[in-house]
Amino acid sequence: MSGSSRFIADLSALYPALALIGASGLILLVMPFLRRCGGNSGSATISGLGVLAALALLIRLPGEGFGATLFAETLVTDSLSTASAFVLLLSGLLAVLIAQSYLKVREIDEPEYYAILLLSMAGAYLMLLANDLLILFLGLELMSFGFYAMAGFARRDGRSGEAALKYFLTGAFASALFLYGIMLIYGVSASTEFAKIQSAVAHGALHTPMGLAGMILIIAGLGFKVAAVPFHQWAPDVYEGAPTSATAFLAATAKIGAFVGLIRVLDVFAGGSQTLIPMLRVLAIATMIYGNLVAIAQTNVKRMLGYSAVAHAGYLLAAMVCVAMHYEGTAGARTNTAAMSASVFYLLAYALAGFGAFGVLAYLSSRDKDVQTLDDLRGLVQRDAPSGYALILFMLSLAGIPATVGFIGKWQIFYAVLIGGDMTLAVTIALTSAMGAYYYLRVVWYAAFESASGPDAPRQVGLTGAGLTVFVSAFATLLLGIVPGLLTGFLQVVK
Amino acid sequence: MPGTYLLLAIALIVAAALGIAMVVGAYVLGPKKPSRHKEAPYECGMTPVGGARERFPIRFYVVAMLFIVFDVETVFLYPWAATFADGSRAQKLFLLGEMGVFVAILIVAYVYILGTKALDWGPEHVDGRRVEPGVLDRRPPIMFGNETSNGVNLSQTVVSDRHSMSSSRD
Repeated sequence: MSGSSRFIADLSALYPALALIGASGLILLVMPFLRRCGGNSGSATISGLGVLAALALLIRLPGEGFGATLFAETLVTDSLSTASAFVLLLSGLLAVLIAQSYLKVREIDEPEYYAILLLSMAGAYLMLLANDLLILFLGLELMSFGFYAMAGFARRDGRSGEAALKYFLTGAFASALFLYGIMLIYGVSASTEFAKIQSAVAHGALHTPMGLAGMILIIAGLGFKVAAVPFHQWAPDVYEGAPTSATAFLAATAKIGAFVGLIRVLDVFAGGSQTLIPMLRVLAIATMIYGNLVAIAQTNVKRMLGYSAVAHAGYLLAAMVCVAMHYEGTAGARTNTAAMSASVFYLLAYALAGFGAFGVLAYLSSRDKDVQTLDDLRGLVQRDAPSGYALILFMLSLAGIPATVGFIGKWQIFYAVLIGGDMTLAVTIALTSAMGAYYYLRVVWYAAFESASGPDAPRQVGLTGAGLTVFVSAFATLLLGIVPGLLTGFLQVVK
Repeated sequence: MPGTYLLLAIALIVAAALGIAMVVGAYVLGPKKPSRHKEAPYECGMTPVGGARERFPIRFYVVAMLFIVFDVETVFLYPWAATFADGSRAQKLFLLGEMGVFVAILIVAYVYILGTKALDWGPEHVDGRRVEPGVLDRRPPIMFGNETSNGVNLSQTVVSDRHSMSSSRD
């Protein structure tokens, strides 16, 4: 194949990202001029259509090209990238819906939000396809820059600015760590390409102090993005301060991008170092225990969900331990595949429950009141039964109660850990899940059994974007909880 | 090649002599009416002494950012143009496409800048009537020092308290 036709063929893998970027550019081109003649509903429409187009282009991607490397080995399309991109674009759709009404309510409805959101998603998409450390870094930065701006989007709210600044400073620090890790790995392998690093690792590159430091720094950099303990300090403040729609988006998307990136990196490093699996295990256990323990003390639901995000990062890190067991015989290979499928499914389950829970908060918010404390949710079932029952459903899903998608996700990770034969991790998952049930069920208690403290603030009624987010998430949470095999065709990761 | 270096040396000497002549000439011939403003170190028109917590019009940052957008474009255009001539026909087409994409992205940024009125300086016009920007009305007077050091308002005070120029007037 000649150079240019190869280029065109490779480009088709990036069509979903190009659709997102194109929609973003269209919003920036058109909306500032239309804003003067009233309204910003066009931005939500354009971005919604952009995400739908990306989803259609993703599903139409040729299946036979799986495992193919593109653009001189820098990108790869395989079942992992396609499955996680599917989850990413679904959560992008929910992110547009939740923003559509919430931004209006908070009076921060600017076209830039949607443009940034789409670009951020394009960055995450690039991370999913990365087959080169520098491409991974590029996607990570494109994704993170969007998060920083979106966290500070409520400019009149001091906490939003605080969230943006804290997120930006710690995020920039994490990026520096990641980049430094890339440099050290380049030092021992003379390449940033995964395949070449892998062959260097097979020749003992990670046994040198430089290689070991590089590996640790890269994992630390990605650990920051997923808020793994001890890199989690930014998470509660950012989750609380950022506009609720942005919180929901970054909670889901950062996890999707960073965990798939982590899977790819671990695939490269696995088997090359004795410290990798013990290190990941310590990270996972610390993250599960800390996140669940501190979440118990929270009275602000957004902050509680921030710590819950830390805890869920812990469960996913437990799956990462299994991903890294790649080289321990056939059982290791089975564990690896099971853990990858489990991670993607778990990411979907978490995205649905997260968007649903934040969607309820966004749905209940009004111009004068941004709903986010437990007191605000008192007696919700009496005041607004649909959103009350939906909130209960999402809390049960986050806690991992059967008949919700959260249970299936957690069960899959637990199963992978059991195949891997790691009893410490399995026991920790079980115990911390029980711990987590306490604070999720407390929200349920407040919503269902406490009586309302005061009259409702007036708010938008009827079909709003946030309401639609809640409806879609609740429907999917229940449906996939009862028929988990429904999306296996999209979500199964095969080797 | 001593001849070429001689020319260089002559250029250096002329430059040095010219610089010295200007400074000395200004010192000898120029009238001297020092004031507090003139004595202050030159800082591109900004207040040279004072707290770091000063207020800047936000437009400075906007202009700085826009400058970077278009400055970087030029920086990329030059090496691109330099390598463009060497390629084959197909390569040239490819390069042209690449630069087209790059410039198209910048044009999106440019149109966005126009759309958000980031390039509109000065008073706004609404329905043909001039509207004074409200922000400028409330700007504090320019001060030496800052609010914590009881600064001196330059637009009102006549300075005559500096010992080195006690006879001069502002």
